[in-house]
This record gives sequence, C-alpha cells and structure tokens, in this order.
Amino acid sequence: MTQYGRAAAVVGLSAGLALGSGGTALAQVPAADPASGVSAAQNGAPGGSGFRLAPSGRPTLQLPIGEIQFRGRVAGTVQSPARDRGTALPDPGWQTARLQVEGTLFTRLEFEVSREFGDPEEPERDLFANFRVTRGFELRGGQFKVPFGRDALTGGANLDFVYRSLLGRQLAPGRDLGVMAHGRVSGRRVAYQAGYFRHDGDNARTAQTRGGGPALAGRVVVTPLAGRDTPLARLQVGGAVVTSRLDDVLGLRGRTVFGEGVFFDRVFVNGRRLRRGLEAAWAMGPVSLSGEHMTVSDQRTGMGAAETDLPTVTASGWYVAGTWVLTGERKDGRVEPAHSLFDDGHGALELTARVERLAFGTSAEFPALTVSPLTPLPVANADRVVTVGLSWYLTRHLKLTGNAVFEFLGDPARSPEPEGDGRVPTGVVQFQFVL
Amino acid sequence: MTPVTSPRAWLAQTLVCALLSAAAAPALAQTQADLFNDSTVQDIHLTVSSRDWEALKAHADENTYYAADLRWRGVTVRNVGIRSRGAGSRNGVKPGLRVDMNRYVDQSFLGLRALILDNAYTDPSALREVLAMKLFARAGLPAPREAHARLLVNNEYAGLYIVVEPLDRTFVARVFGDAEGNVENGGFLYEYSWVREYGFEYLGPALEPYAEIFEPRTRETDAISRLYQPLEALTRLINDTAPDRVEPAVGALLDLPALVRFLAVQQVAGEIDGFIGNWGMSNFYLYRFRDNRPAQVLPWDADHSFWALDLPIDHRLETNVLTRSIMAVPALRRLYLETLVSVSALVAGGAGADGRGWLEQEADRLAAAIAPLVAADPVTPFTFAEFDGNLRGLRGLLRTRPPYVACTAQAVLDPAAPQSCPVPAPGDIPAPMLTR
Repeated sequence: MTQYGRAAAVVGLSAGLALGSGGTALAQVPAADPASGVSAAQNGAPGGSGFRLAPSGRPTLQLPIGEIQFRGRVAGTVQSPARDRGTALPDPGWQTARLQVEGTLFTRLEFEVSREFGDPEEPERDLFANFRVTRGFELRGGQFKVPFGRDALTGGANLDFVYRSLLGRQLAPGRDLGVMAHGRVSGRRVAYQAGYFRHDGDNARTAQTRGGGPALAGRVVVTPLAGRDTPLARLQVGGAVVTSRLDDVLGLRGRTVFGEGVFFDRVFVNGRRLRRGLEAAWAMGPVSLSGEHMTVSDQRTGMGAAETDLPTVTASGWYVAGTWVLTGERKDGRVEPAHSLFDDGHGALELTARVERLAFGTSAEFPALTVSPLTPLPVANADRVVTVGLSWYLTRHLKLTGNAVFEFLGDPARSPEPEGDGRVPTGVVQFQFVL
Repeated sequence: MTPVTSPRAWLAQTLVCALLSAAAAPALAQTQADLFNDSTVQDIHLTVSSRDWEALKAHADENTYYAADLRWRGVTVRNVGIRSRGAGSRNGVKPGLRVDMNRYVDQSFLGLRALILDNAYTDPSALREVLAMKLFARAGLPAPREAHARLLVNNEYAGLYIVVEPLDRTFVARVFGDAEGNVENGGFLYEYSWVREYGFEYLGPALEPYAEIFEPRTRETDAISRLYQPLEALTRLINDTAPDRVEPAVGALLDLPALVRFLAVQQVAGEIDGFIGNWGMSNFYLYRFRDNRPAQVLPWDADHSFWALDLPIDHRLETNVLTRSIMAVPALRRLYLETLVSVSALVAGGAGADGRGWLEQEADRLAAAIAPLVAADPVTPFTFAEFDGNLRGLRGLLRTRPPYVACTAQAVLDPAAPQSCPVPAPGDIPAPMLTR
C-alpha cells in the first residue's frame, strides 16, 4: 500500500469514527458508568472488558488490567502559489496522518505507540513505556521527545498554528531513544524532566546525516502561583539544556517556514553541541501568551589547518505568540467548542498571532581569525517571520485553520525569492481531524 | 454507529476526499536517461528576466547567480539559479551556463542538483566534448553523460549547447554507489583547478597549496586535515617513491591501472588540454573513496580532444612526475601500450564497407542532428562552412589516428611488428584555437 493509500485508510477509519459516531452519538447513549462514560450497550462485554467510546470520543479497549485507547490525527494543507515552492497553482498536500495507541496497565504502567503514515522514511514516532513510582517520580524509556522547548513538546493536535515555530522544528532536538526521569513536585508547582538519549534528536539528522551523539537533557518548568486566585495562576516559566557530542558530522540547517528554502546551509562540525532554552507561558480565560528563546552552539574543534579550532557555529532565535478565543471558550491547548457545528452551533473561533526570528552565524570568539581558502566562514543569515491566523473549531474533532505567513530573509540573495527583497508572503489553510 | 446524513458532514467528507485526490497526483515519468539520450537534440527552456539575462552576459566573467525557470519536456523547475561558467570558453556572447536547482530552493531536477550547459564555443564541430566522453564511457571509465541541446531563453533560440551531467555527489552515487554519494559519509570529490603549469610536484607539508588547486566538490566544509592531508601524502609519495615501489605504495592511494586507461584514452583522442596537457595538468577531477580504496581520476571538459592528429603516444608523459613514475614501471608501461592498442580498436571498431569506425559513425550521426541548429545558431563564433570543414577534419582524425596510435604502440610492445608507422597527414584539420 502506498503512503497515500495508508493515509487514505487512516482518513477513512478516522472520518467514519468521527462523523458517524462522534460526540453526538455518545451523548445519545446513556452511560452506565458516569466516571468512564461506558454504557452497557457500548461495553458489551462482561466483567468490564471490551470496546467502548471514552468521553473524548476515542475508541477504548477496556481490559481487566487496564485500558488501551486509540487515537488518530489527519491533517492536510493547501498553500498559496509561490515561486519558492515552484508552484503556480494552490498546492495541496498531506501534513500528517498519524495513528496512536496509548494505554495504562496495572494502574502505574503507561505506554504509547504512534506511527506516521505520511512519512515513509521515518514512520515511527513515539514508542515508550512510562512507570509511575509516585507523582513526583516517574521513569520513561523508549523513543519519545527529548525534553527541550515548549513548542516542540506540544502535541500536534494542540498547536495554535499550521506549523510549529522555527525554533520548535529546527533548534529543538525532536525525538530519540532514551530514558528519562520526570515528575511534579512542590505541590505540582515544579515539573522536571532529566534524561539520557542515544542521539540528540531527529530534527538534527536526515536519512543521510547522523546528527549528534549521546545527549544529556534536563528541563524544569515552574508554575509559581498555581492554585492561587490571581490572574497569574497559570503563568509558567522554565528552562532547558541539552548537551551532546558531535563527531565530524553535518550541523544544523536554516530552513524557511515551508521548508523548501535553505537560508543557512549546514557545515561539518566537531566537538560539543549545547542547546539552551528559556520559556514562558500564560493563559487566562480565552486568552494565552507564550514565548521562548533558544540558542544552539556547535563546536568545530580541530577542524582548521594544523588542527586548530574553527569558529563555533551558532543558532539563536525566539518567538512570542498570542491567542484569543473569540467565542469565549477557555484556552487550554486545543479549544473545546461550546457549541459544535453538528449540534446546530457554529463551533469556536480563535485568533492567533506569532512573531519569531531564527538566526545562524558563527561565534565572535575569533576576532583575529585570518580567513583563507582553508578557513571559510559560514555566512550569517536570519529569517524573521510574522504569522497571523484564524482557527475554526467546527467540533472537538474537526478544525480549519488559516495562516498568513510573512517571511523576511536577512540576505535576499539566499532567500527563496532572490529577485525580491527577501520577503516571502504565503497563505496556508489546514484541515485537521483529531480523534 | 450513527449513519452520516448531515449535509455538513458530507461537506467535511468531500473536503477530505478532495485533499486525498490532489495529494495523490502521479509524478511525471521522465528520467535522467531521457535527458542525456543523444539520439535526439534536447530542447532546454530557460525563462529569465531580460534584465538578468543581459546582466549575466555583460558580466560573464563573474559567477553571479540569477533566478530562472527551467523547463524540459513538460518538466518545470522554478526558481533555479543560473550563472556564467567556463575558463577559456567563458564569454558574454554565448555564455556557458551552470544551472543550480537548489541555489534558492531545496529541490532537484530528475534527481540532479545541477546541470551544465556547455556553450561549445571553442570547437567549430561542437562534437569533440561529446565524442570524448563517449569514448571514456566505452573504455569502461566513469564519465559525465552528455547530449546536444537547443537552448531557448524566453522562447528564443539562444544557441546550440551541450547539456552535461555535473560531477558532484549525484554523479558519484550513480557511478560508485549510493554510499559514496552520501552527503556526510561519502567520498571526497575534488575538481582540479588550473592555476599554473603543474605536474604533481611536491608542494611541501603545508596544506594551503593543495587547497588552492584541488577544490572540494563534496564534503566542502569538512575538517581541513581530512580534506587535504591525504592529497599532501599522495603528492609526497608520488615524488619520493622509487620505481620498484610505485605500484604497491602509490597504487595503494591511487588507482594506477584506471589512470593508465585514462591516459590511454586521452592519448588516442589526441587531447592537448587534459591530464597531460600542453599547459600542465588540466580538466580532471579526483575522487577519494570513503573506504580508502585507491582514488580515481575522472574526465572533465574534453573539448580539446581530437585536435592533434600526429601526437606521439608518449607526448609530455615525461613532464609530469606521476606519469613519469608510472612509465618507469615496466608492467604499467606495458599496460599503457596495450591499452592504447585496445582503445584504438574501440574507436575504429565496427567499421563497415565505408571504413567508418564506431566513433566516426557516432560523429556522423550527431553531426546530422545538430547541423540545422549550427546553421541557425545566432551566437556561434563559427560559420557553417567552418563547422562543415572542421567536421571533415575531425572525421579524418577519427579514421587515421587510431591506426597510427595502435601501430606505434604495437611497435614498442612487439619488436617483431612493423616498426615504421605512417604519420597521418594534417589534412584540413585546423590548428588548435586555445585562448589560454
């Protein structure tokens, strides 16, 4: 089966489940167990075992030792024509087609397996088990996201924009194989994650490049006023660090929002890679604000003539994002519309905006460096992006998002629009189904 | 399960289906083999702003890139980068062009990252480059694929060109395997850059002189020592090794049998600006394999082949340290002579009643295809009469040089063979037109 065939199968399954037996269907069936939403009719199995639909609308397999939930997400986009993508007509395509199975066994053992059907090269996503010793100390092992970057760690279904921030896609590590201790302490005001990973994430590697070596990662997020009656009760601030080894590999590459333009090409790096990040987020009622700052430095130890060091390649960036649910629903990740479109309502509308910048260059530690044919310096460049958007949550499962993306490349000659002034405007519409 | 009957639900389903159908549109089936198929003259279209095209020609000595759209047989690649290219052939009347698919956008054209449009500006026949690469390939050596092309710029005929496969990691992957073409772990490809007359003399332990003449075309930003230390070591070994140690010592770093074959092809072709050129080494690439197998020399820019009718078979071999060392090894010298004979046989092989060998037949076939385009070429520096006359000279060379080379080589190999080989007459072959 082709990737499109598999994607179509997922779409068919998902759409059928959502449109045929979505939230409205659940509401029509009296629940025998108010806590779990299980009805006797849906359960259909003695002793509490069998399939049911959870309140979230997800098919759930209830077992004597726990439960297993099936989730899915399908998203397609249509982008406006643009020279940088070589399109003269609106450009439709799949963004994601993912199936996910997660569950809890014996109360404390959780697991998650997900597969991306739109990515034939690297279809495996999460594959991990999590053992909860206490709320303050849990252990996770397998393949999952390296704990770094708020936007990068946000689930795809909960993103406010069609695309993650440049930081989230290019500077954050992404997923890798590892073990991690994590938990919430101090009355759940402090969340921590600390882990060891085999490599430093799939965002920094391709089918032909290895990326960094073993990585150590740590992240702390504090909600200082959690539980208090104050507008800042949902304020979160945090920081994260990831360090990894680079063994004569190709480093990071600066890509434009839609990925086709390369505004900073990768160079060989050797030594240590250090990622540092700061993050903050706040929400109150229908409004939210978030922001991050990240830096990544890739050493080039012993790569010069006579094995001298070359200047470190650096990448740094930030973003500030805001959202406002115009229809008044509470903002907490994905918006739950108070009145679904299929219940004679109109869904929920959310206004979004993000400003971000990502810059690449070299460290200023080598002011006396003599540039020669043997020591070419990567030429710095930066991408500044403004995104404004409107999201329409038709139901809890269906979402239509429109984003207008304005990119400004620092060096127009290395932008996807070399004949312009480095400005690349693009419109994109995303249709997303989430189960 | 509740049946779906709501019009809104149908609307949502229809949207999903429309997205599916659009995303599953089939790709075009053109291939690189189609592009380099020389049984027909390819039509290459470039769409570029008139201002940029004029600027490119006015500043042909610069490597400034301009944005353009490339089209071939319905395959369009938008936003490619084009620039002027070439050494002696570089000019602003009929500019040689390099087309980089991924200059601005991460994309490729039939899997190619770049394309060369050779302006055939120094060869009145416009055939020598193509014929030489055909001979390399026929002799079993990796060589770029080429085909004649009618270049149309903004839908106007801009001249007869040769579309040339660039030597890059895509080429390396094709001829040596995907692993060798890996962007991070593949081998090291260098373009030899002519700066002065040079013949593999040792340049000292510092790496700068090697970096000056060997420009990396893969792994360009890798550690300096990884890029150039092996070249310094190779050059030192070539200069320091006694003849009886050349095969095991130098041969461990450089594929000597393949180089001997390479030299033999260029000698049969009467190349005067190649590895053993009249101005020192020129027009070749060096490829170091990722697993340290002996490196290989690759041919490039052979438009000065088939110029010299009576070039001796040992022409300038003594002027280059490496070829001098090779020829001092009896086994390698014998291999060279034997290869001269076999390559000559390749050129002259398949002759029919009319006496035309394989390469002459190829020349005639290609000439017939390009003749109307040469006549209509608005920017060629040659008249059609010059094309025709030069073609006749080229055919004469293809007919007379191989027997001469084979006879001369055989005379050295076998003292019992005829020792007198008639030197071909220059006939109407014009003098070289090198501008260097």
